[in-house]
Amino acid sequence: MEKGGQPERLVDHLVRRLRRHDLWDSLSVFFPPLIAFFYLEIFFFTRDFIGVETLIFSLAGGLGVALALLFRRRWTAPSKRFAARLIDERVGGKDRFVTLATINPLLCPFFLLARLRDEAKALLYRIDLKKDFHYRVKRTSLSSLAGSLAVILLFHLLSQSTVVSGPYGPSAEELQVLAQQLSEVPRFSQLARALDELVVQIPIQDPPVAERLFLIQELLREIEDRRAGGQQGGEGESDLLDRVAVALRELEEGKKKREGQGGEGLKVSQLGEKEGKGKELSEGEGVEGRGGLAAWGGREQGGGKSARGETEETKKGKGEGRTGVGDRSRRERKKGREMGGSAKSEMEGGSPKSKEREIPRGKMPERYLQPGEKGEKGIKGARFVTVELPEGEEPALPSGLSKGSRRGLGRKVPVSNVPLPPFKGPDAAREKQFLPLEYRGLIR
Amino acid sequence: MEPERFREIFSLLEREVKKVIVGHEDVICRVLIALFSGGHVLLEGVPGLGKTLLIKSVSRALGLSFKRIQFTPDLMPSDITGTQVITESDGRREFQFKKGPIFAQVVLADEINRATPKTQSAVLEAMEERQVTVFGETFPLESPFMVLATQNPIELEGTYPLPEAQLDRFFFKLQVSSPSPEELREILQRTTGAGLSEAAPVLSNNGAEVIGEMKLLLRQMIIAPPIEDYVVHLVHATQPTGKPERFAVSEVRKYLRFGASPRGAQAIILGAKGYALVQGRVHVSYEDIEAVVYPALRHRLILNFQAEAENVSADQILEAVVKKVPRD
Repeated sequence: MEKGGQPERLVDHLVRRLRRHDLWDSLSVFFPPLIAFFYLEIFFFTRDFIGVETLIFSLAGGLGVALALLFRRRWTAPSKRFAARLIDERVGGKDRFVTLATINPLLCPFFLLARLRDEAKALLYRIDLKKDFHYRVKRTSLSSLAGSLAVILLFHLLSQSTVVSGPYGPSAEELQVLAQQLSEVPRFSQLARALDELVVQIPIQDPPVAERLFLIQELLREIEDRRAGGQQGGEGESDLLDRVAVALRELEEGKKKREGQGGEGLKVSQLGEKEGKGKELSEGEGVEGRGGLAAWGGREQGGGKSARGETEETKKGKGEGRTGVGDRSRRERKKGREMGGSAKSEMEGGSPKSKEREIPRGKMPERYLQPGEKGEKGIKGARFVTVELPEGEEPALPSGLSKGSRRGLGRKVPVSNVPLPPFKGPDAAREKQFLPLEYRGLIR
Repeated sequence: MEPERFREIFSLLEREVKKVIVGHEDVICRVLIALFSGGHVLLEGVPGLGKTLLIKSVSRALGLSFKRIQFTPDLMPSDITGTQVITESDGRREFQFKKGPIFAQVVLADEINRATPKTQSAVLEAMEERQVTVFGETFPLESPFMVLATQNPIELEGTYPLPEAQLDRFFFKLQVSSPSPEELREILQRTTGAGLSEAAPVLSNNGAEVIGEMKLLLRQMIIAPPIEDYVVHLVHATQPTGKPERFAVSEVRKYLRFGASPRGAQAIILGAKGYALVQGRVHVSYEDIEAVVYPALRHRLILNFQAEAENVSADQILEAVVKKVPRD
């Protein structure tokens, strides 16, 4: 077809072909992102994150943008001159096709034009439009497709990972552990059964329904009733109830969040909660040393007593810890909060199992020794003190001390390393501040 | 005239000139293209390269009348154009116009930069208008008329560089380079032997008429609008002043005082048409444009002091222009 036709017709054919290619290019570039966009929109819509109006508007907007880009690309479609130049390059036409495609035939001498056409025709055997100008998928199209697929896959992976990690509440296992702990207390067996029922009946990762929320609220109400009724036996049971209540509340919140009811407001409330926890944590961290110290002290003494109630500090720690009872599961999910959580659980006693897990084993570190106690590295809190001895009783200089340094210290000033006993008078400071290392030897 | 006939004559002329001149094929080709385009040529090269011989050979091959003017500082305009002399006949004295050497079809202006600007300008009217006015009387020059001027680029003492206006009137400025060792050997064999070869006239009786037809055919050549646009962009890109253009060439702004004139664009197109015909085509291609852009524009670019100080040539600037101006 092309071989027998006029060169100008061949140029026209090529222009049409290139425009078709351009259309395919445009579609292949813009279609995958559009599909990805639509997919995400529909995904959000099915999960009730966006409403119908939003969906329609965004779909229409996406379609409009895609069409606008498509038409913009169409405007920049290859011209006749461009197509002719491509043919010239392909057949070695030395601009014969460009000339034929762009000149005004009426302004050219006929014999020269005829000759030019003949020359161009003679070159037509060198070109086959279908073979030489077949459609090739451009790299931009492939990139667009790959990018869109990557976006969809990434979105899926992220959404799944967020569902698995359970940002909306405690996991089923955690609830089962709590139910088991409740069942150990005969008074809470009914509660434990209800919680078990909830765990069994409610697949945590599924979208919630009103009945499930109702169940959770019923359980919470019962816990509140039991608290108000003063039926709890000891502090351990009270803590257990607290933890169950917190877990249920988290579950309830999670359900509400999933349902998309006032998602933004919930986020804000969660943020506020986080801030509160941060503060709480700092407090917890503040008592960690003391709580830990008390725990070690209790263990060392072998009295078998709980660390709680031994000292004032531990009491304080317990008091603070109680506000965070049941937060353990939440904290365990967040690495940055592990320390605070463990300190509190130590202070409050927690469940025997968790307590066993959390109490450090082995030798007690030096830092937990009382001042004056003897450890591996010597006496705890031992400081050098200067003692003015009577004249004439100057002891021999220590081997490492030169004459000059002795002169600096003053003559006839003996040195002793006897530790001072802890001051326990009425004016004793409530807080003991250890002497920083760099000041030792300077302050006497 | 058919393009084939044009090529045939052109080839014959080239062959005849090459009998005398060794090498310089490009120069011979472009001199002939300039002739058929109706232009004048300025040949630049050191002495002894055969510039004058080349021009003589061309004129002989063309079968056209030929005059040589040796330009010297004391040469007067009337020595070129001719003057009124008193003649006596039948006892009466009268002024009679004595035609100068400019009244020839091919004029060799040898070492044109040795004459004063006044004398140089005497050939201006002849080159552009193809006529000479003496004492108010105008005398047309015989067609075809072509001025082939030579100048020496090294002996600048006692010379008068050609004014820009006159330079612009030359269609091409061609640089005659030294011959290669092989060419030099050939020159020695030809010139130091017993027999000296001479160019034979190719166009004998109707030379002027044939040349006229060839000039017409050259002007009828087909050129596509995109290629014309390319020429426009090229010439425009040589303008150092004015608003910033699409194809701003930094070398142009840095080294040029003035760019090419519209005559430059005309010379490119006509030269390219001639070149395309010689190549056996009836249309102009981008290659033809690039083949003639250097001889057509190099003498039309007026370099500034910085270019001279840095020894930057017009050809280097043109190279940058050709490189930066896209074909489409």
